[in-house]
Formats: sequence, structure tokens, C-alpha cells
Amino acid sequence: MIAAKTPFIPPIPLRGAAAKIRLGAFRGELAELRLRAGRAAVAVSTDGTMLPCSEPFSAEEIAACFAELCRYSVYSYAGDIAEGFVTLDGGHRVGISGTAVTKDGRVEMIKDISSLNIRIAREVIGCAEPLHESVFSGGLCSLLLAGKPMSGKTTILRDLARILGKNHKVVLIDSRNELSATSKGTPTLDVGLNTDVLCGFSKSEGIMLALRSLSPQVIICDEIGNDSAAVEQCLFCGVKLIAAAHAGSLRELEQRTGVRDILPFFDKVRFIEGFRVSGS
Amino acid sequence: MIRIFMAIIAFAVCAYLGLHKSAVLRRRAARLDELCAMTQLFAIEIRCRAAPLDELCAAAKGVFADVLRRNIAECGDIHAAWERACDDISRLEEITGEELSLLQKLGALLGRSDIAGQLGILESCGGRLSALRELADSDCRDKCKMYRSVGMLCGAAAAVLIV
Repeated sequence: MIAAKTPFIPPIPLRGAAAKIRLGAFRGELAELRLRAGRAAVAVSTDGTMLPCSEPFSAEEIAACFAELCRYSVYSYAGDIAEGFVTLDGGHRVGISGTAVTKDGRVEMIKDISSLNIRIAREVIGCAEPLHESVFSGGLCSLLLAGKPMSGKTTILRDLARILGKNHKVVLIDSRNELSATSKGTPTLDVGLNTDVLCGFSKSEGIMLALRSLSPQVIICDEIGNDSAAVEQCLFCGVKLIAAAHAGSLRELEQRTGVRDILPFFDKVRFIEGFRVSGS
Repeated sequence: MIRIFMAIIAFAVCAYLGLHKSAVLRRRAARLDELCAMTQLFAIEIRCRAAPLDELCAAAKGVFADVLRRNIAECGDIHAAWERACDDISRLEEITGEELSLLQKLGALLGRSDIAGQLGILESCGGRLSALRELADSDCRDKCKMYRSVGMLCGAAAAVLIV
């Protein structure tokens, strides 16, 4: 088992790899662990420092790690694997690279796994307080959070759900189970008292289901794009939407086809980098 | 006195052999019944909710499932634990080559493909296990009583001859 330094993160099931990985020289907080066939594992800290921390992994060892991360049940994660990731208990996400197995032009599975990128989920209680103060002091509004990968969007969204969930009816659409880290129906991370979690739903399906049956005041979802019809429905129903999108600047945001269409529906946009918030 | 003592021993040995053979047949039918139930449970749970193998192994009942759970607790790797469980139950008298090879095949393929693949494997192994169970049931019906009676009768005959 590999445990991140923060005590609230549960151990990652990697018995085989754990025997090879040496994190003794690693300083800081572990953000990612990258395992690649034929190369040493690399530990990445939250400040971006990368440190090789093992002997090279063989392809068989990577396959064994993959099987263990999938709880030896590839069929249970087939949908996620086809999308290139597996989410572990605790909300840690494992990105997968390998060879695509396609059917009718669509990726059905990934075989010959060549690398695994384990992103350690972080729960930073209170990290969204300043954002909440600045954005929602005048009341609820629709908000788009933009940032590069690893900028802290998911962590801030989770904390926003926790804060807003104290006094509002919130629905959290957690397509990849990263926000709530739900295990057997119970969120293992704090997502708020009045927050309902829709796990594994696509954003569009989740938004429509929430509108139909959960009477939310706020819907929160991660990494939105190509969901303009559902976003329109949501905002025309008087429900506020808080979403995140990958983009480093407003220009990038406007150039992304899926996001460009939904941008006018949001009241405010904020940019995030390393938990620092900026924007209009 | 010695003859009577020897007659009793001869009767006891023959009766034991008959009863033992009969009990093995009954146990075999019971084990195959458990294995069929296990494959059915796996198929239903995988079809309905794609439940992962660790949950399925925890929910399964029977001698093989108990041995499997013990091995999973020891080594963690479900495929290695399954192989070890097959080795462990191969020592049981009531388990024969065919069901053992079916279990080994099942263990090697479980969890390694999509739902359709898993259901196909379970259907094929489950079907064969079901046929073996029917055979064991009919053996149990036809031969259990016979083994017991033959054991007793042979024991009695040997005892009479000795006396």
C-alpha cells in the first residue's frame, strides 16, 4: 500500500509496486505517482517537482498494478477504462495509457497498459472560502471555474459544494467519482450537508435527472463541455450551475468548441492556478 | 474370543468403507451444488451491477469460497488466491479432475474481460458444472444406499466367515 502524506487520504492498493517504490528522498506533498513500463516510477509533488523513485518497472509489473487497481475486475471499470481512467476509493484517479481496442470506431478497452498516472485526490477544507466570499456574497449565481490541469479546480469545487451545501440544496454531478469519492453509496469526502451526489452520470444526464427529481438550487459539476442543451435547461429553470473547465485563459476558454457555446450562460468566470483565484 | 474380536473389526472396516464411499458421493454432490450456486451468483451480480470480484468472493458460500476468502486475506491477489484455493481443494477426496480444471480455467479468466466476456465464461463453466452436478446427484441417488448396504453385508459376511 502507498499512503500519501496527508492523513485523510486512504492508502492506494498497490502492494506489488509499493515494494519497489522508495519515497524516502521525496519532499513535499505527493500529487501524482507515474508508473511506466521499462522506466522508473516518478513521484510528482504539488509544486511540480519530479523525482524518480524506483527501479524500472517491467510491462508485467505494470499489468499487475493495473489489475490490482481495477480490483482484478476489468469488467467493473470497462466504461471508465475506455475513457482512459479508473477512479479509486478516496477519489484518486488513475490515468491509463496503452493500446486502444476499438469497435465501430469507438474505443472499447485499453490493452497492453504501458503507463499509469495515479493522481492523489486532495481535500483542502476551506480552500474555497475566499472564492465563496467574493462570488456569492450577493447571492447565488452561475459560475464557471477555469484552470489548467492540476490547478486545483476539483478541490475547489468540492469545497464549494461543502460550503454551499450547508444552506442550499446542492446536487453534485460526479461523473468520475473524484469530487465525492463515494464508496457504496456514501461520500467519503465532505461535500456538504444538503448535497445529493449523482455518481457516474454524464453531465447532461445528471443535470436533467437533478432538474426532474431533486429540486436543486445549485448544480455542481466538473469538466463541462458539449453539454450546452442541458446547461441551457438548467439555467432557464432558475437553477444555478457551478462548473469547471480546462482552460488557461479567457481566450482559450472562448476557443474551446464545447465551452464556447455555454459561456454566455454563466454569470461569472474565475480562473484558478494553484488554488489562487483570478478573473472577471 | 480372538475370532469374535477379529469378526467385529472386519465388520467395522467393511461398514466404514461402504459408509465412507457413500459419504464421498454425497459430499461431491454438495460441493458441485455450491460451485454451481457460486457461478450463478457471479453471473447475476456481474450482469446486474458489474460487481467486482472481491465483493463476489465475499458473498459466495461453500467450501471453495471459504478457502478462497482465506487465501485472498493472505495474499491479496485474487487470481493467485484462486489458484491456491484450487490447489487446496484438490486435496479433497470428493473433488475430481474435471471440476478442478473447470475452476482453474474460470479463475484464470475471471475479471480479465468485459461483462459479455465474463458472462460467456461463466455460462460455459457453469453449464459444465451443472451437468457434473446432475451426474453426481444421480450417482448419489443410485449408489449411496448401495455402497452402505454392500459395506454392511460384506462386513457381516466376513464376520460370519471368521467366526
